[in-house]
Amino acid sequence: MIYLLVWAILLSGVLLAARGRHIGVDLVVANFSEPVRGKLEIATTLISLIFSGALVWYGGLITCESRDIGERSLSALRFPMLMYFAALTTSCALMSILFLFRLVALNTGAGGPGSEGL
Amino acid sequence: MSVALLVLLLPGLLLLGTPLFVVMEASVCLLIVAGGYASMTLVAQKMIDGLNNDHLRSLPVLGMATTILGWMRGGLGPVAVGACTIVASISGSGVTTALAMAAHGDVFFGISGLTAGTGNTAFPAARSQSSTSDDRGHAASCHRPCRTGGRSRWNFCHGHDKTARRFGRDVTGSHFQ
Repeated sequence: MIYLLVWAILLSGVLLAARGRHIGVDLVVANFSEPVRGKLEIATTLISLIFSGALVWYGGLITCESRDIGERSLSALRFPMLMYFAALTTSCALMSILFLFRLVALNTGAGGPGSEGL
Repeated sequence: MSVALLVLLLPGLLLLGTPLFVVMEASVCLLIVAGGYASMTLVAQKMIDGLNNDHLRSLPVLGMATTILGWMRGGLGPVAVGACTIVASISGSGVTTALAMAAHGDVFFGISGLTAGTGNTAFPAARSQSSTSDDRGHAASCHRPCRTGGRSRWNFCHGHDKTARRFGRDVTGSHFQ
């Protein structure tokens, strides 16, 4: 059950990215003009994209490593840990796609995913 | 040097409006990489291992408490108390309850997962206090005058729709019209 919960939690991060509901501080940004805010939003989306992309890569590495050594849980279930580690890669990959769409949409002036929450 | 980088980067990213999970983790990742302490693989490993916490099994209880109590204005407090009550009654231990709730807090601040579990509608009543509604609970786009102009017990507008009022659906500030 705990592995399902981890999958649910990580996938819910994707849902938040899609809705633009990740927690952030807008105390300073809200005081800027619209064009400056737009540029800052592009910058923060780019940072998020880079970070998510890095986690896809490194999450993939630990997933592959777990598969190579045949790592299993210590419980009697002997759950393959590969499926557990894959949650991080999947979630970050989906988030990266959403951040990429958002970035493209911001550059073209369209709303894109997450625009309603920002 | 590395610590100075962290001290500058953390508030810098935070004030730029970057999502909190990116701020916290990207700053630490940069510190690790710049300082040459370890590989980034360790970061991914610790992230996923940190979620492997048995106390997260009480997360559905929090979802249930949210469904029951989260609809009301300022529902955050009642939801927390309700969830703690249920978990404490099951576990029979206050310390365990505190640990379980602390685990939720880790998830909440780490990857925003608590609100994500319910699509960030976990605490609609808390969101209703944002700029989407005025002090009578009217949405910004609502131009209909409030008949009584008063507030009900749950702080939603009287008079627009008796059915909606009876079921108390307007606590999110989305205003029935």
